Amino acid sequence: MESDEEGRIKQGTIAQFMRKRTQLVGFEFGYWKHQQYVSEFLDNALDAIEEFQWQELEDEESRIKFSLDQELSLENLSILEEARKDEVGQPLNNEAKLALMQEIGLTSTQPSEKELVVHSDKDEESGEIVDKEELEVEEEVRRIIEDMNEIIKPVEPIVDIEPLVIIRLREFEAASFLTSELSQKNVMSYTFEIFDNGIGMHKTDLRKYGKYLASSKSVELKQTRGSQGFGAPSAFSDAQNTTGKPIVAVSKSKDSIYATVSEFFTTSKNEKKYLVRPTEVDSQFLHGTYIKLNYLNVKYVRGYVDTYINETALMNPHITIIFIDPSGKEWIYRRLVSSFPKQPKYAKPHPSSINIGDLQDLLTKSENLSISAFLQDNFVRMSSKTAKEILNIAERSLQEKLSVLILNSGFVNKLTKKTDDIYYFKFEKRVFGRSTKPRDKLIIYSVDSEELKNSYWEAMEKYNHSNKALDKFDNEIKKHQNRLEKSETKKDEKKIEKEIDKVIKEIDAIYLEREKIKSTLEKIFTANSGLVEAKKIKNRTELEDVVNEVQISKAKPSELTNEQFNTLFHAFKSIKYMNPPTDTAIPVGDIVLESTLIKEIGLKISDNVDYFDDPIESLKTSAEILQDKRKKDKEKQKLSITPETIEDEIIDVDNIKIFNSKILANVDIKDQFSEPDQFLQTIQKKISLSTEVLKDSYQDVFEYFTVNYTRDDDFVNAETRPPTSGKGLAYVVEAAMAYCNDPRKLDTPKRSRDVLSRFVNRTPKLRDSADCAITKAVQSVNWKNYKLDTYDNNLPKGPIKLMVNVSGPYVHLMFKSQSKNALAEDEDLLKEIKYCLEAIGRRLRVYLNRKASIRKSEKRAGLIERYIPQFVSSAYNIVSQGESRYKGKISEEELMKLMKDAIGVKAPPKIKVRKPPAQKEGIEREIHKEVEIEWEDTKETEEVAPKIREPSHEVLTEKTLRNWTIEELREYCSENSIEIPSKVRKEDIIKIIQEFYKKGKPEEIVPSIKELKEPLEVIPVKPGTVAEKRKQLQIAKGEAEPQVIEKKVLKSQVQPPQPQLTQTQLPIITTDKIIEALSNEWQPITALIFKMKIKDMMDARFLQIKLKELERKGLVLTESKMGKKHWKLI
Amino acid sequence: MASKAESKKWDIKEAKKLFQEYLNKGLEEEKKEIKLPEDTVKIDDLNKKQTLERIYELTDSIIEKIYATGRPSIELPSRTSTNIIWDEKNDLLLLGKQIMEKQFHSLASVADITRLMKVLEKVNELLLKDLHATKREIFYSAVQLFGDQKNSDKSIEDVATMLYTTRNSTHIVASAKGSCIGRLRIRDRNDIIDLEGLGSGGWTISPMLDNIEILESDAEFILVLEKDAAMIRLSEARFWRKYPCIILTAKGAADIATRMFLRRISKELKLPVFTLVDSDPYGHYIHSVYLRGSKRLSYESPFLATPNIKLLGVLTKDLEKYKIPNDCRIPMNQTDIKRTKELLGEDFVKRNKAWEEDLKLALKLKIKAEIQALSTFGFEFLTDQYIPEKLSTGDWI
Repeated sequence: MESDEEGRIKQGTIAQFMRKRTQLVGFEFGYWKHQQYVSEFLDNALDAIEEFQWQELEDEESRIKFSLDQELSLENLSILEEARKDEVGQPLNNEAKLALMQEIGLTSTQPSEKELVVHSDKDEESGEIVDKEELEVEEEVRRIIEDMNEIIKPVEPIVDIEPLVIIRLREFEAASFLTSELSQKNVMSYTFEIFDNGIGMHKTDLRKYGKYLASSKSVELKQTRGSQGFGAPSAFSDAQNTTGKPIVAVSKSKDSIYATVSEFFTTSKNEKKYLVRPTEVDSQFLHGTYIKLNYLNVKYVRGYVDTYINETALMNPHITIIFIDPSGKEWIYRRLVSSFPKQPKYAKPHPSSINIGDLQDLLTKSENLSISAFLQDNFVRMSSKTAKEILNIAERSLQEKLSVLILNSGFVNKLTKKTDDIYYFKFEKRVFGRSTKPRDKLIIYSVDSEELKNSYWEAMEKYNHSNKALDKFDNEIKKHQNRLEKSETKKDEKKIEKEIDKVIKEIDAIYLEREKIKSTLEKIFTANSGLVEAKKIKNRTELEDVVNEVQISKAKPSELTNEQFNTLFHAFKSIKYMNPPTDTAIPVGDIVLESTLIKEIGLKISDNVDYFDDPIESLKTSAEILQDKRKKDKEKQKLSITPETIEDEIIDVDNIKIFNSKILANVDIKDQFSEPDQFLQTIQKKISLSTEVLKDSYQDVFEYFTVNYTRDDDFVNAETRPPTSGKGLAYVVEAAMAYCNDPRKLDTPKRSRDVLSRFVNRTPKLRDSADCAITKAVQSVNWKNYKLDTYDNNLPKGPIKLMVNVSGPYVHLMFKSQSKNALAEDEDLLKEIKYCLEAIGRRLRVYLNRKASIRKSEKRAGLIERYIPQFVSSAYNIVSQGESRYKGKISEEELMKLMKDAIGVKAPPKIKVRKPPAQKEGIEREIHKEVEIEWEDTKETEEVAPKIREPSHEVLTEKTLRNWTIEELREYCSENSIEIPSKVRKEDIIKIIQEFYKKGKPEEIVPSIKELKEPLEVIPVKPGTVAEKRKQLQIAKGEAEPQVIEKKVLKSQVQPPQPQLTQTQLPIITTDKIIEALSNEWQPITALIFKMKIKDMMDARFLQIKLKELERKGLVLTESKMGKKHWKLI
Repeated sequence: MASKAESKKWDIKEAKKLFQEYLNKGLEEEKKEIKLPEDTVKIDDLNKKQTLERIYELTDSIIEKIYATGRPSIELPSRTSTNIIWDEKNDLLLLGKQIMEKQFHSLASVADITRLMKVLEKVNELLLKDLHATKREIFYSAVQLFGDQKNSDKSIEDVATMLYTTRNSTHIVASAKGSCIGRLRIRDRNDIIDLEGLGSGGWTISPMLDNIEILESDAEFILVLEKDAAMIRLSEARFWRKYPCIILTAKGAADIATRMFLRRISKELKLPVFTLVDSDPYGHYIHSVYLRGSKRLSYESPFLATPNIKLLGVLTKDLEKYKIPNDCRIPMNQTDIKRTKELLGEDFVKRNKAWEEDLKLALKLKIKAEIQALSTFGFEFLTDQYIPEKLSTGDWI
C-alpha cells in the first residue's frame, strides 16, 4: 500500500511485507516447503474439527457431533481406486457431456432460476471482482466441485460421522516460463488440496479467510495449534507468487444448506481478488472446508510431508487423516481412539508473562473505565484485592514522584523547601461553566495562617525524614538480593530471604507512619482555618494535571500518562502472583498415547502384562474352589446343614477337568501362537496332568500363561506429568515410548533424529531439532541407566519410538523463534521433560531386564536341543536292548519331538511339591503384629461349629493394643468396622475397642453361616502356625482369583467393526413426501425444504441423502445449475 | 637270610588275642546286619540282574516323563559335603537323604543328564554282556560328550548312586594297582590262586572282584602297607611264613579294588587288620581311607571301609621309642601341618584318643618319618623287631 502522506519514506503493510517474505514462516524453496504447506493447513483443519466437535458437545441435543463410539475400519478404503472407478463409470467428462446434452437439446443452456444465485453481499465486498460470464463461472464452479468430490466421494459414507482430514498432493510438470528464472533445478508444480469436516466457515467468514492476521484463534488464548494468523495467508501468497494461479476455497458450516465456493487471489493490500465470488453450491458434506492451491517447489521426496502427517496422526488419534502423496501412495491413518480431547479453557495471560509492550497495547485497546477493572478483566490470577494492591503501590510511588499527597478529603503538595508555597486541593461541588448544576471542581487553596504552615512543616519534616530511612532500606534490600544471587545453599537463601522480609516489614512500618502523617495533615487541613482559595495562580493547569495524574485509580486505562504507565507497570511487576491455573493445559493422555502407539506400530502387548509385576500370591486348587462352590450351593439349599458335613464333600476328577477347561477356554490365544493346535495340545496335556493328581494349583497354570503370553511382548509406556505452571506459563509435559521386537514394524533408526518426535500442542516439530529444549532434555537423561544404548549426541538408540509433547495455551511464548520449530530452554521445562522420561525409563528397564532373561532362556533352548539326540539314543538303546516295559514301543523320533516341544515352554506345574506362598514384606510386618496378639484359644475351640471366624475379631489384651501405633489401631478399627471418631487419643481408641468386644462378643459366638463365606478381611497369617488360620488365608486369597478370570472374559469380546449412522430417529421425510414435493418443474433443494417445512439442518441433510437415493433409483431427474442440483419428477 | 631265620620269633599274642576276639564277634555279627541311621540312603551291593532291573526301572520312569511333559529328569542323592553324614555308631561316612534333580531342560544340568544317560547305556551294555570296563574305556566311548575324563568319572560315580548301588555293581572298574601276598587261596573264575606261591611279586588285585572267590586262609591277621617298598621287604623276608598273615598294599592311596578286597577278606575271614604307613599326615590319611572311606565315595563306604582296622605304625611316639636318629626324621612343612590339623578336626580322629594324641605329638614335634626310617637299624629291623614287637605288645591305635 502506498503511504498516505507525502515524503520519501514509504510505508508498507504487513501483507505486502509477508507476501514477499514467505520464507520467514517456512515457505522457502526446498523439501521443507511441502511440509510447511501441509502443516499450515493440517493444523488449521485439526483445529477446525476440534472446534466443531467441542461446539457440538456443548449442545446436548446435537445430533451431528462425531459419535466416535464405533470402531472405524478403513482397511479397504482407497480414494484413488474409487476415483478410478468413477472414471470408468463416467466415460464422458462433464464438459463433453454438457456439450452433448446441449446439442441434443436435452437441457436448457440458461440456468432457469437465476434468482437462486445469491449476490446480495456485493456491497460488503472490498476486493475487486473480475467479471466473468455466468456460464463461465458455472463451469468453473462445476470444475472445482468435481475436483473436490474426487477426494470426498470415496469417504462419503463417513464424511459426516467421522472426524476426517484428506490431503492430496499432485505433481505436474511446471510451465517452463515459471521455472526458467529460478535457480533451483528440478522444480515441479504441485496442486495441494485439503479437505476437513471441521466447523466450516460462514460466507462472511470465508470472505476474510486468507487475509493476513485474520484468525479465529489469535483473539482468545487457548491451547490451539496455530494462533498467529499468517500461516494460511502466507501459503496463499507463496502459491500465487510461484504459479500465478488462484486459490480455491469451499466451505460449509452446519447452519447453511449450501456450501460456498470461491476462487480468489490475495493481494498485497491484504484483500482478495475473486475469480469466482462466493457462490452457493450443493455439498457432499454437512460441514467442512476444502482448499485447493498450486505452488512450485523442488521435487517432492519422502521423509518430510509423510513424516509430518505420520507424527500428527500419532498425536491426534481422534481424527482420521488421509494423505495422498504425489506418487499416488495413500497414507491412511484411521481414528484409533473413541474419545475426543477435552476442550481447553480460554486462558487469560498471566501477569508474569506480560512485558511492558504487551501491557501498553492492552491498555490502549482497553475499553474499561478503571485500571482496576482493566487488570481484572485481562489477567488471570488478578483478584480485586490484587488489583487494589497494585494501584496502591502505583499511587504511593506516584505521590513521591509528583510531590502530591493524597489525603482523604483532598490533596496537598509535598514540599521540601520551606520557601515553597503550600497548596491544598480539594474537589468541591460548584456550579461552573455552562452547566447550572453543581459539579466537582478542583479548588486550590493556599495556606494563609502561620499556625497551619507550622503544623504542616512539622508533619512534612517527619515525612521527609523517613525518605532517608527508606533509601537506607532500599539499599539493604539490594545488598541482600545480590547476596541471594550468589548464595549456593538453600539454607543461606532462606536466611537472606528472612532478612529481606525483616527489612520489608520495616519499610511497611515507615509507610504506615506516613499514612499517620497524612492523617494528621488531613486533620490540619480539614480544620479549614487559615486556608484561602487561590483563584489566580500562574501554574493552575499544571497543578490540576498533577492532581489528576496522581489519582491513577481513577484514570481511564486508555488515557494513562507516561508517568502513570511506568509506575503502573512497575507496581504490576512488583507483586507476587499465584501461578496460573493448570486446567488450561490439556494433555493427550498417557492411555491414549499408549493405545495409539500399540495400534499404529502394531505392537504386541498382551492383556495380562499388568499382572506380570505383581504375581498372584496364593491361589486355591481347583478342587478347593469347587468345594467352596459346592458348599455354598448346599448352604443355599439347606441352611441347617453343619459345616462338617460340607467339609466332606468329595470332588471327583471329572468335575475338576470341566472346571479347569472352562477357565482355560476363556484365555484368548489368538495371535499369540503361530500354531494354535500345538498350543491347545499343551494345554490339554496340562489339564489332564493336573487333574490326575488333584493337587495342581492355579498359580502354576497362571504362571505358565503369563510367561507364554509375555515372552514376545513389545513395550509401550506413556507418562503424563501433572500440569505445571511457572513463570506465568501453564503447560503439561507428556511422553510415550514404544519398544518393538519386530524390526519390520519398528527398526532402530539410522539417524538419531528419527528416534525422537517432538510435539507442541499435538503439532509435530520436525525442524531445528538440535536447538529444541525437548531434544536437550532427552539428551540429559542417562539412558544407559535404563539399559538403552545411545547415539553420539546422547539420544537413546534402539528399536524405539519416543514422543514428547508439550501442551499449553502459552506455548507459543516458549518458542525460540516465530517459525515455531524449537522450544526455548527453560529450566523448569527441561526438568519436567526429564522427570517424565525417567519415569518411562524405569519401566523400560524392568521390561528390558525381563526380555534379557527370556532371551537367555531361548539361548539355553538352543544348547539344550543339541543334547536331545544323544540323550534319546542312550535311553532308546537301554530300552531296546534290555527288558524294559517299553521295549519296542517307543521310537526315537517321537521322543525327540516331545522333548524339543518342551523347550522354551515354562516348566509345567509341578505336581509333587507345593511351596508355601511367598510372603511379601508388607505382609510380614503384619505377621509380626499378629504374633503379639494373644489368642484365647481355649474358648475358641470349645465353640465347635462356627470357629472359622475371622481371627482378628478376637479379644486383644490391653497390653497388645498399647503396643500398637495409633495408625495400626485405626487400621484395626476400620478392618473390624469399629467406629471411632476422627480425632481421638490412643487411650480412647483402646477403650473403644475393648468396649466393642464386650458388646460384640455375644454376637460373635454364633455367627451366621453366611459370614463364613466372606472372610475377605482376614489378615494374612504366617503359614503353618495354626491349621485353621491357614485355611482362612487360602479362602481369602481365593476370592480374588475369579475376578481375574472375569476380566479375561470381558476382554475377549469382539467389537462390531462397522461404523453405523448415528441417526436413530427418522424424521418425517419419506420417499412419498419427497415425490409429493417434487413437481415437473426444476426445483433446487431450498425449494423442497420450504415445501416440506423442514426446519432442522439434519432433516435437510437427510432430504439430500434421500434425493440422491431417488436419483440412483431413477425416480427423479436431476440437473446441475450453477453448482446446485435441481430436481424434478420424471 | 639263613642266619636271620634263627632270629628270635616273637609271640604275637596280642594280635592273636584280637584275632580270637574278632572271630567270636564276627560269628555274632553275622547274625545282625549293620543298621543304618534313618536319615541315610541305603546303598545295596547288587548282582547283575538286580542292577539291570534298577536300570530299567529308571529308564522307564524317564520315558514316562518324556511322554507326559517332554521334560525328562533324573533324581539322585546329592553327593555334596552337606549330604555326607558320619555314622558314629558304625564309624562310616554315609550319604544323606538330600536329593538333587538333574533336569534335561535346564542349562545347568543338560550336559550332566545326557552324560549320565550315556554311562547308563554303557553300564547296561556291560551288564548284559557280562563285561567289565575301566573308567577310561567309558570316557573313550563318548569323548565329545564327556570332554574330559573328570566328567566321565563323575558321571560314573553318579550312575552308581543313581541306581543306589555300588560302583562295583555297575561293572565299571578302576584299574587296580594293589597287590596281595600271603596265606590266602582264592579263585578267579576258573583259576585257583595260592597267594603264598607267587614269588616275591604277589598277586595283583583284580578290579573284577565279583569274579573272585575266597577259598581258604590260615592267616591270623592282615597287614596293609602303604608302600611297595615295605611290601618287598616283607615278601623277601617271607614274613607270612613266620607270622601267618596276608599282606597287601595299594602302592600309595587306596583304590577301590584294594579296599574292597581288603574289606572282603577281613569280613569273610574275620581277621584283624593292621596298617603300616609312613609317620606323616598323608600316611595317617591313607589309614583313615581304609578305616572309613573317602569322602568322594562316601556312599559306598559300607562296601569299602574296614572299620576295625588298626594303625600299627609308624606312630610318632615310635620314633622316640625306637630312638630313630634325627637325620631320619623329616621336619614337617606347612602343608603337613595343615593336613595334620585337618585330620585332628575329623570326628573319627577325635573319638580315638590315642590317635588324637599321636597326631598332636606330631604337631608338637613337627616331624615326620617314613617306614624306611626303621631301616637305620638294619633292613631286618622292620620284619624281625618292629612289627612283631608291636603285634605282641598290642602297641597300635
